[in-house]
Amino acid sequence: MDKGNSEKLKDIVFLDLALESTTRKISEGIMHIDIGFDSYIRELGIILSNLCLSFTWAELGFLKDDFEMIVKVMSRNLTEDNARKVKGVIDRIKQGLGEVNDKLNEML
Amino acid sequence: MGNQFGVDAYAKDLFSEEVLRGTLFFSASMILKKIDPHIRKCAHLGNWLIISSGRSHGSRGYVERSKNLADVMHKEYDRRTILLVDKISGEEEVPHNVQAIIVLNSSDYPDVLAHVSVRARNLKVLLTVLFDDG
Repeated sequence: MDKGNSEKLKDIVFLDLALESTTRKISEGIMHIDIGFDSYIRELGIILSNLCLSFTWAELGFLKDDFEMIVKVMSRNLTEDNARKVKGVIDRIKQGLGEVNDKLNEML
Repeated sequence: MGNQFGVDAYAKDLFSEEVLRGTLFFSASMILKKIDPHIRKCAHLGNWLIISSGRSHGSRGYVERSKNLADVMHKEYDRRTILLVDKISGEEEVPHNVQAIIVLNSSDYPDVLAHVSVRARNLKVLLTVLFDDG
């Protein structure tokens, strides 16, 4: 891609905004119906991938990797041991969301 | 930014909260809340869920109980208070001088990025859910 082409870059920025808005709308719609645990895990994976594209924050990349390697694999067989490992990653994601809040609050 | 523009503190807080809630981070937070009970059940975890960890040196105060947090959210407590509440919707404010909020036996607790969770986190107030107070 020609990074000097401002028209093309503008298109990509608008496409990114539109995609994020659509993903947000879909996930909010899903909240009001019970789509089941496996589907929620899939949805969370999609959202994390989208966030990784939108934000250059190293922690997000680590969270996404942990999610792919631990949550997606172990949530298929949630024994007590696996569930505790999954819970560890989920708690780290929650902690990450809290940090986003802290940073935004500090910035604004 | 807010300070540079000379914006009132309440407007700055609300604005930053709305910016955050307008992103996909908020959607992720809602999904985490949906999957959490199932994982907790499978992992045989305890009955405490900490949403905001409060101050590192702990939270101390006189204990008071209220049915709804909404009933006391504008109250100004004279002394440091630990608040036990039966119900919390997520849209409430944290009352003045409250050091910790404990949601008792709640089947519907706020997510990590709900208004009250964000306020508790920013004010360094402990916010925790107790699933079984028996």
